[in-house]
Amino acid sequence: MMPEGNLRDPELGRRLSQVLTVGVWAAVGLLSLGILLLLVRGPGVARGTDLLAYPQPLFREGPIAVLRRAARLEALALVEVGLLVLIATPAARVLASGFLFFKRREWILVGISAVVLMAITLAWWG
Amino acid sequence: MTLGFFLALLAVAASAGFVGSLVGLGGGIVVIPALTLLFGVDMHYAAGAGLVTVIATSSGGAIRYLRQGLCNIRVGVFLELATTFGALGGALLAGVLTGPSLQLIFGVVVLGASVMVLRRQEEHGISLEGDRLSCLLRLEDEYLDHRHATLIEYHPQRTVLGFLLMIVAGVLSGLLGIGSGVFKVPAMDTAMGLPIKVSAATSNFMMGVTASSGAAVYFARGDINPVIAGPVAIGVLLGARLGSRLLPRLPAVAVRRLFVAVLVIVAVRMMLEGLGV
Repeated sequence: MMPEGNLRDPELGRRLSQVLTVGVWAAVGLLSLGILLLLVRGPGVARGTDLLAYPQPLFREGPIAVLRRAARLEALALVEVGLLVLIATPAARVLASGFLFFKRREWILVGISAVVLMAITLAWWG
Repeated sequence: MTLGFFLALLAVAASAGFVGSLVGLGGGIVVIPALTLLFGVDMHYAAGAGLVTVIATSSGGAIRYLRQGLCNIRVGVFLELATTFGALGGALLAGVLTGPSLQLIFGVVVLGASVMVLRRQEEHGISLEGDRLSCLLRLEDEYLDHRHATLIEYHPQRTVLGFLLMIVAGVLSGLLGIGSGVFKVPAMDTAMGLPIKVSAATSNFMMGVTASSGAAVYFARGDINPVIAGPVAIGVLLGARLGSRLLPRLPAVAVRRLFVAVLVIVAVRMMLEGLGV
């Protein structure tokens, strides 16, 4: 019988796996729907004929605008939101690690998770 | 986007995710040249898709490795500190230290690492006593070897050396814009004495974090093209899922040889680029 989770701390592995599962499946859902729509009816927004010469991300219009586009099932907006969810998933995992080590009172690893999360946040904003 | 283009991207990406998740690399080494050479994709978009590949391989593979107990979370979180700051340092140094000589040095270092990884006989060399820092951080762990149905206990050694090597791995990944699995796995396997499967799974777990920062920058710059990166992400996730199912069932020596083969390809490619060939 295959063990579930890290053998010495099963809950830690299981919880982090759950965080990654949610992020990955959310991304897969958005990406699949977006790609399906791209295949069926094209990009859904005026982009010119050569899609490989993608000019700029829709997110430059602001997060609310692109979420509205995604809600209207615009193909490129759905794929962009899916990619962002995927890119943000490791950061969510670091946040979850910090929280789980906090619950275990492992202060050195809490500190490390906090510092790593700060560095990622800086990169996102920078 | 045509169905043929989508399926071709999916196949390339799935093979990258499969190999990457098996040996603890990001898979960018497969995706980036394939996109530029086979599909004529601009290098910026290929590099952006390469970062998405690393994140998808990491997240897709780690889901299973965490449940299987192959991934050492404490080692991964501890070493992420080194790789994250190393990568930031590398990005800052990128303007100063670039060029062919760096690629040449990189190639030689990776070739040296491949020899060390190949020579290690872990089946007789897993330590049962950790150093002081690894005991303090409780980095010791165990995993179930499915092939022999035995529980393998291991205690990390030379934790400080492993941490320093991870800083170097981070700096080089920031400098060269690559996933640093080629350095992470040898640092854990050869320097810290972790089993090769644990090293590959833990490298897989860690690398998404470094790539996430880089991908955010690429995304904001418009270098992540959804028409390319979208199908690549789906393909990589599928491949990584398959690879992570296979890893526990493979013999350690096969994983070691596969990893060394990939290292040699990476090293030779980098050295040829460095020499301008």
